[in-house]
Amino acid sequence: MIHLIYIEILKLRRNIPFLILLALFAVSAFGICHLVKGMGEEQSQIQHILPFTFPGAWHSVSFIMSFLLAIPALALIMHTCAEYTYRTNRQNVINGLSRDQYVTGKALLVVLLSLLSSLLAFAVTALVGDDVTTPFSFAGIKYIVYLFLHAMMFLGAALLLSLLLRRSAITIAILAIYALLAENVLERFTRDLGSWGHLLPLASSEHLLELPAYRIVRADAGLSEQVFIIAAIAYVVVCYAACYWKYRRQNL
Amino acid sequence: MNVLTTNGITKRYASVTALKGVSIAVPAGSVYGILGPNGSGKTTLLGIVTDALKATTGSYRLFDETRKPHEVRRKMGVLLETPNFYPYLSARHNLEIVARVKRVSTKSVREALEQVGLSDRQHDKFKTFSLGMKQRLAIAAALLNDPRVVILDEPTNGLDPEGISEIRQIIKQIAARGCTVILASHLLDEVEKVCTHVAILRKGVLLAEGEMKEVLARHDEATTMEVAGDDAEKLARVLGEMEGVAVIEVTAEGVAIIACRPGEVTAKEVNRYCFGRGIVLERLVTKGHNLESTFLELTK
Repeated sequence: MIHLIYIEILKLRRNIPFLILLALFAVSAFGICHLVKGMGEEQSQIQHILPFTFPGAWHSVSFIMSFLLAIPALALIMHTCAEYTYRTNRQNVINGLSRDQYVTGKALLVVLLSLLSSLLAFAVTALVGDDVTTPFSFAGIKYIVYLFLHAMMFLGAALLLSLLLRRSAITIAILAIYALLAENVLERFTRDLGSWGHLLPLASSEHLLELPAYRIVRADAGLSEQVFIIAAIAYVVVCYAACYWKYRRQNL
Repeated sequence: MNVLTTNGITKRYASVTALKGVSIAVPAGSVYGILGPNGSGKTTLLGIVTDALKATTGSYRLFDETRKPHEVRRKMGVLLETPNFYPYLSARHNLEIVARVKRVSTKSVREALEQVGLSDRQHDKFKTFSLGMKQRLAIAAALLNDPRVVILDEPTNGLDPEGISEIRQIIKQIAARGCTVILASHLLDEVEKVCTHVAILRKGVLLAEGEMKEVLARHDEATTMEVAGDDAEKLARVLGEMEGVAVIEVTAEGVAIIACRPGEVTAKEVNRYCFGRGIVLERLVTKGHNLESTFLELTK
């Protein structure tokens, strides 16, 4: 395992676009949270929706960062699809990696990026969270875990699409259309199915991070947090299983 | 002992069948040439035995070993089609990744770079390399783990004469170390000089396979001649109309190389035929029977 992630790190250590995107992700996380906090201090309505006082700060930061996951997803897609363009994925296998090992390396990279996202969310909350009016507290830290789960799902979907489509532009377009449009449309159509319509792949983990105002709607749908956690974990497992299944059969 | 055995490998892409039941056996220590025109399935066959492609049906076995195929591949050096490296990384960093994949010490990187004469450029990015240097780097990657088998697919493709000469020299060095070399090429002369065994493919079908001498003896049906006259274009046209003769190519010097059936078409008949059509020959050399004529006979 360590061997496989080390190979991925060797590939990325001089990949300037990848490193720039990661830096942008970190700067955006600090910048946007700081900005929203500042807006909240001026308008109490924003502060009510997105509090930066503890314990609500964990939730607010995780919620904001769930949108910023698009940046590491972009980096992951560019890196994975570039391997197809340069045919280095093929060469890795020819040189002696099994196909499963290749996918494991990529899946471990997703885990690493998800961990980095969670650690970044922790650091942003610790720095931006307002511990003047409320004392620092770990009470809402579960949202960092939910962010990790959502990152695993979102980045896993990005990885799966990259392996399926092999071209970064198409992959980015399809992922953006699905995440921003298609899943919302599907969710509306499946409302007739009752509560289960909320359990679409990305929505399951997204619902765990959504703001309290939206949570009232979901509560009406009658699904508990545990259901969303189980659904999100199940989708993550299915997503990675699909990556292995596809790559084992692919002509490289 | 065979280092590679394939059993009835077939590969289909939608409506195209790239390989049709190909079975070959590569003996240890041999220099095994895979010959065939473009699109004959050479790269597809090598892609399947290196797991870059999946066979539709059939199987293969490497080294007669029971270890997992990817573990066996680590003891092979493979250059399939073009050199594939990370363009933003230096030669050295690229080879370090290959060393990690093959699970060999990164210390061997320096030695491999020296062997192919790239030590001076080891810190330069791969994307700044010329095609010849890229090809040499790919050979360095193939040699990293002191391989038991080296697979080279058209290693001199696209290189200038100097580059071709360099690569040929490296191939000779590899063969001299006792490695089994599998060489896919359409350079008949090169294969004939270097290889001990040969397989000839056409449109995915294996036409002949075995020791070079055996294959040549088995298909002793054609001879080649070099013919030259005043007007190379007219000469090629006239020879193309002659029964029992196939024009292989007309060289830049205006020499037509033809394949003809021995016993049916002799040098005397060719001379008379041309003279009868107003062409006075300046040169007429019977080359006899070789891999080129066998190849052309089998693949025409």
